[in-house]
Amino acid sequence: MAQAVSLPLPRAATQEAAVPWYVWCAVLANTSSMIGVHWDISWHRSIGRDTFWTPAHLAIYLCGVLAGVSSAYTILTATFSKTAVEMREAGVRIWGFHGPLGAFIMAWGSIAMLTSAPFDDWWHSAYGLDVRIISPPHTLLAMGIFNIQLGAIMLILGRMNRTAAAVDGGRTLRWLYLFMGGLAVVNMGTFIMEYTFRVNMHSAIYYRAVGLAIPFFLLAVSGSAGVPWATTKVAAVYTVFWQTMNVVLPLFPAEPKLGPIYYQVTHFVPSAFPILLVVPAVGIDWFLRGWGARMKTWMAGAVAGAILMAGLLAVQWPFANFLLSPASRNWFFYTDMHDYRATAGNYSRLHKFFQWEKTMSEFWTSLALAFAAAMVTAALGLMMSRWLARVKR
Amino acid sequence: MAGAGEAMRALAIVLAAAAPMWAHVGSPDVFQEGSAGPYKILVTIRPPQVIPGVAEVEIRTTDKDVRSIRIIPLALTGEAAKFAPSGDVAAPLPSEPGAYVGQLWMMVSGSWQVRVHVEGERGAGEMPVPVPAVARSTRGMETPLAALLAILALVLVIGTISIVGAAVREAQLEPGSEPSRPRQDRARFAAGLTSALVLSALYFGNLWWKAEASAYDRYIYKPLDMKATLAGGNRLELHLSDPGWLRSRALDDFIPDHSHLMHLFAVRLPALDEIWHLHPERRDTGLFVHQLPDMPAGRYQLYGDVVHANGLPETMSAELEVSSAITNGRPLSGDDSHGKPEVNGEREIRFTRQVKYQTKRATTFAFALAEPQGAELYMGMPGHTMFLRKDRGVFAHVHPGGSVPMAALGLTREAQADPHAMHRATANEAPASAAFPYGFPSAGEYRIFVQMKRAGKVETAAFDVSVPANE
Repeated sequence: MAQAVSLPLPRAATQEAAVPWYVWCAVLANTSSMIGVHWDISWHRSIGRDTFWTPAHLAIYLCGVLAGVSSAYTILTATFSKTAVEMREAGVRIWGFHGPLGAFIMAWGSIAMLTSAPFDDWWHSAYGLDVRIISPPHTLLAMGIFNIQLGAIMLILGRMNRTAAAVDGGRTLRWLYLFMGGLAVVNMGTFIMEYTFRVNMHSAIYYRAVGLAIPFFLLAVSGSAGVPWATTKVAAVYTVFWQTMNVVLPLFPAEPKLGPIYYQVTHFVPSAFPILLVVPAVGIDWFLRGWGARMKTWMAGAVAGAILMAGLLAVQWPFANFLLSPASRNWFFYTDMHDYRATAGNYSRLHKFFQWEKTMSEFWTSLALAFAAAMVTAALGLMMSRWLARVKR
Repeated sequence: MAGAGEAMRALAIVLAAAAPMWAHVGSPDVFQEGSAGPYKILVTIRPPQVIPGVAEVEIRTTDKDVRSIRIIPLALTGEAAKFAPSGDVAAPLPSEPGAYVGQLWMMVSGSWQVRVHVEGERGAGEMPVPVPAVARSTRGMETPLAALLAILALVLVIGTISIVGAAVREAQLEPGSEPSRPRQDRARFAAGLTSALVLSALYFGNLWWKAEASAYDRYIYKPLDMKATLAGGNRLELHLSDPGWLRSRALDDFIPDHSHLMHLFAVRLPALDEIWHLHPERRDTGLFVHQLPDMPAGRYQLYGDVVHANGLPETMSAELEVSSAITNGRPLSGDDSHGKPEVNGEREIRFTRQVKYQTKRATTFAFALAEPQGAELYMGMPGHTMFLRKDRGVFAHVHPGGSVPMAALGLTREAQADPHAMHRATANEAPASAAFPYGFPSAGEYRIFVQMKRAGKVETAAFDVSVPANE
């Protein structure tokens, strides 16, 4: 989209560069859901029980409501308002309605989230409360949250690509785009949280989970953001957001309200320290600006994936030793905080590595798969970024 | 993913430590009366239908100086019995002075206790109430909800296909321009591909749902099977087997309740007019044996009460066919007893009836020996009652303390500290009368058998009670 910079822009385009209220709503909705999800996970690890009305749940559902109302308003305005000709022309058509593609995706996500509420309520009454975290209604909820995130990304992208970087407003849109990219990485990081505890950092499963979940979104967003060092910036957003949650949560008291209790908890338990993605992200940006720019997209993506995995191994592996050492048991790394369900034999409580792979050949096979996964998903992500860079509606 | 692995192991340990079972038949609610320090309280616990789930707790007290009540759930035995969660406040019920209600989460199947912590003018006191928590059923989906979810699902499915089609067709067009023919064709292809993907996602989602439902079905409580056979004329053999439930359930870990591993009640069918209260001996794993006394030919309903080592009680039921009368049976001895009472007759035991009975409501059933002289404890208790719905769908063996077996009470921290505390509490009551807290689980015609001991003889009385459906 950078080539559009030199074109003279009509007045309408200049006006469009301002960030409209519904984009702010979309960003706010997604920030709320990610705060809510992290808070809720901590709630279950510290207090243990919930009702529909916990603040963490409300933060999650506020996302659905905000996204639903703002996208519905946007779509209805674009469809029925006589003065919204430009909005209509810059939108897509679905079932006779007009509006930005992102608004439709967000509306879908909102309906999915709201559908999951009665479904989940019934599920709990039929099979018990949260017997499994990954259940059909929770998957529907996660799909809703994910699509509201995707919708917000598309919403910003359409405007960003139409208005290019011709006016100052474009800069805000680009920062919002990078911020949303960071939230997408937070979302995926949450999805693989079970595999990325510090006790797994010397097992290949850790790297395989990261390789499968992270590179696609990281590169799809950074490759279409149109700013230098975009991968590093997206990774930085992820790191700052995640670590802020981790530092803030333990400031508040919490104690288990459920038995059985195996470990006495006094404050909200945070999740693991953020994955050190920033380091390989710098390498990826450096590569994509140089050699990568001369390669075919898929090949550049695959190399970027390999850089991510090699860089991660180089920093995360030694960092894991620090995270198990007494030096990390403080307010910043909080490795002395454990779930109330952590039994005396829990690896986290023992500050010991868990050997996920039982043999060396299993370990090396799994690590090879981690590299393969990172290369494939990064290649797909970079290819996706080329498609995204052309989205205008 | 040591986290999840650890969690699963922790769960397995909890389940192993708390081999789950079920008190009584068709009567899941727990009723227990006792003292929390200086305060007399009557506690009702309604365990959830599903696990994890929410238990309803009601506490009633006549002590006016009670200020607040907290309820705390924790395991009855094992490592998890050492750490108590902060618990919940039971809120006073405005419509009923002296009544407090609260809710508690029961997270795993097994043997739990609820500690009722009372604070008031005379200080604080605590009473533990053992409660078995087991999944009992799977709730179906009501038609309106199913219809709503089906409509929303349809919107989501068609929405997905339409959004993908629109994205391919128009997303990259300059504002105001129309899609070209090839672009439209590409959009149709993408929509077709998405339809196939969505349909397969629905198919696999359905398989997943079924797998989850069937995994849950395995956790639904199934009592131990009991088969009753007669050998050598009057030798009753009870063969216990596990129909499959939690793997941790054992057939050889029963603990004595009032000095007996099993309390067996035999009620003559179809009239329910005669009852035997017997105590078979354990001969082998899963085998209990008893030399029956003289009994008329006919069919008998058997209920066998046992308590596992972790405090979880189970009631097994079976039918026994006695094809020809037992005339050379072993005379009743020890704590065994028999009664063929006149229904609603009050010659030996009197019953203070209430005007009306309600379902699920804790009620005190008061009985007194007509002739109080010579009253004795029967197996350490002023009396025993058996509540039997006439269709045999409900059976509960209740003591003056309540429906919790004494063996389970004996496992609580208080009883461990002072093993005779519970017995002393009951022994202090006047043995010529006894009050039994219980609530009928459902409407129907009930027969209550009461047993009290006087002058070395166990007296048995029977009373019929009609329980209407709640309005």
